[in-house]
Order: sequence, then structure tokens, then C-alpha cells
Amino acid sequence: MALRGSLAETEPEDLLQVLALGGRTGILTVLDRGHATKLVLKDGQIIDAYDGARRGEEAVFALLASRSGTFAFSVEDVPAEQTITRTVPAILLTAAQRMDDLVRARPLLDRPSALLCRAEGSLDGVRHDDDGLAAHLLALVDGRRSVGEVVAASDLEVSQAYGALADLVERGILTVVTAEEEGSPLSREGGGPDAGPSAEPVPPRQSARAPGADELREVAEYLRRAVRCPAGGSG
Amino acid sequence: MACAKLLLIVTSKDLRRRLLATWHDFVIRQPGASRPGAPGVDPGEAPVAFSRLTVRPGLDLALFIVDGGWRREYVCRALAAEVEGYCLLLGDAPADLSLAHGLLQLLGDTTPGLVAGTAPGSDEAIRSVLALPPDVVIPVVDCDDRESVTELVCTLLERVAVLQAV
Repeated sequence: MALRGSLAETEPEDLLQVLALGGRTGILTVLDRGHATKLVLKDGQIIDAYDGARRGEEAVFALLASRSGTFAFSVEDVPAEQTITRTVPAILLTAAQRMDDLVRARPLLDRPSALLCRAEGSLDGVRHDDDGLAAHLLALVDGRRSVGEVVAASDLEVSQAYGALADLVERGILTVVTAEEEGSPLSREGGGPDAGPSAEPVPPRQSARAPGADELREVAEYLRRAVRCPAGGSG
Repeated sequence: MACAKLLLIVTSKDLRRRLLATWHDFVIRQPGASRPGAPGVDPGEAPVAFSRLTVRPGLDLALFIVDGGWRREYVCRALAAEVEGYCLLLGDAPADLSLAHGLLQLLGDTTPGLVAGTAPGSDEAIRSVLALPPDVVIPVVDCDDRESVTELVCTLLERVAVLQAV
């Protein structure tokens, strides 16, 4: 039996659960503003998914984050190629965790330019069960990087990084300093309370500011020179 | 201290892989960026790669290279809020152009930026699909070539500088 509808009326989680519980085999196609996502199901399990830019579980996660578009499920024989092995409930659980991470991190997502700083004695608050993730992120917090830069430098999945940072902020291990707080002690030169006991020496902090037109041109000139005569090269 | 921050958005994994390899080759030559674990050295499979290099004391360049991952649009919008400019690098596959349409709507009015092609001769197809005016120049970049990628970054920097000066 074919299924059609709108994701505005049927949530994608519900749709996937219906298809999984029914043990369906076929292809689910979701169209949203000209962008197509396809999920291949066999006996109720998602075995493949792709949307042009992503393949595998990431394409499913992108679909689950969507709340717009139309869907159509067609019963048909499906290719044997399998890129997804986890069950539908396991995938839905991961998606829910990611969503929770992002919701929790909303205050950080709304101000990615804000600086992250360590609170005094910050490492005392790190629990043993999350030492690895917290320590990895704390090592990137030097009082000069913004929220967005720490997330980018962490090499972690974005929602996981934002969620973990939000957790550290909630626990008082990290503080967030916005541009409006320029006059606070955290934004003064000469370091601050962000350097934890095991931190590498942090250079004197200066407030990062947006460069002027001349400085932007200076960066461009530097890059052109550098690419012609790279350091360590013959020039 | 001033830091010029730029965002490069790619619409496919292949483009990202090529761009990272090219830029990585450039960045690791910069002093201070060669220690293991330094940003820009090992971007791996992260959805967002980050590199930072010092032009001179007091002036840095930070570059975010964003790939299509989960909730890519939200991440792009969040990062766009803190950069001086963005560049959208497109392949010539229909999926690239389709994604670009949504991303441009998201970014276009908030941050200065430009669209670039990565396949020779793809500029007119991009102009047509994205309905860009004839006077908009669409650079075509060779993602495997360091000079080509650097020139794109420089073009973006100069465009932002012009807009700032107006």
C-alpha cells in the first residue's frame, strides 16, 4: 500500500515508526523545496538513505530535523546495498539526543561570537565519567576563542559539541562573555581566571575585534605573498 | 587584536575533501600551526574544519570550512553571524545547486558573501539556477589548486573591505 502526506501534519518520527512497525519494504521519498531525500526500507528497517549531500544515518537525521515537505512511500523491490545497520528506534534515540543537545545549547547557539572562558578552579568540577569530552573541550578554551570557534576546533559532531559546552556552562566550569561585557575583568588584557590548574600558559588576552578595510586588504596581500613563497619552501 | 573570520561552505563531501587537502597544505606551513592537534592540522571528518593563522602580531585570519552535516543550515547561519564574509562553493550537480538555493536564502541578507563554481564552465549554470544578476561575477575555483583557493579567499577579503569602506 502506498502512503502519501505532508510532514507538517505527520511528524517524521511517527512516519518512520509506522513503517518500521509495519515491516514495510520500499522507498520513502520526501520532497522539500525541490530538495529530495530518499530512505530505503527493507522489512521495516532503514537500510540506506541519501539526499544528494549526505548518505547513511546523517541523511536520516537531516530528515528528522525537517518539519516541512511532502512524503510518498512506494512499495517496491529495493537494492541490496546497505549503509545503515542500526534499528529505527536506535536512530530515533540518537536524533532525539542530538535535538536535546541543541535545545540545551540554545543560549550558546544564539551568541556564537561570545568568548568562552574557564571559571576559577574549573577542572575541579569535571566529573570522572566525562573527563575525556570535557577535557578535550576545556583544552580548546583559552579565553580568546569564541563559542563557534571552540565548536569548530573540537572536531566533534556539532550538536554534541554545543551540548557538552552548554553542560560545562551550566555546571559553572565555563563562563560566556559577550561583547557587551567588554568592561568586565574577563575581557582585560593580561590573562584572567580562565586558566585552569593544568592549562598551558595562556598568552595575554586581547579582545578580538573585527578588522578594518585596510587590515582585510593586508590579510589578502599576506596570503598572496605566502602562497607564492610558502614558509619552508624554496622562496 | 583583530581577527578576520571567513566562512567557506561546500555542498558536497568530495568538494570538502579536496578543499581541506588544499588548504591544509597551505596552513600547516604557517608557524605555530604544525604541532599535533592544532586547529587546521587534522580536520578529519568533522563537519566544521577550522584554521587560524597569524598574519602579523595583532592580526589573525580564521577560516571555517563547513560541510553538509546534520542541521547544516543552522550551523551555517550561526557561524555566518560571526564572520566578516562567506563563500559558497558549488559543484555542478543538481543537488549542489538545490542546496545552494536554500543556503543563499538563509545567508544572503545578513552577511557579505559570494558564490563560486568549482567545475570549469559552471558559472553560467549557477547564475541561471540561482537567478543571479548578470553583473554578479561568479569565480570558478580549482579546489585542488592552492593558488586558486587562496585567490578566492583574497577576493572575498577584498569584497568585504570594499563594503566596509562604503
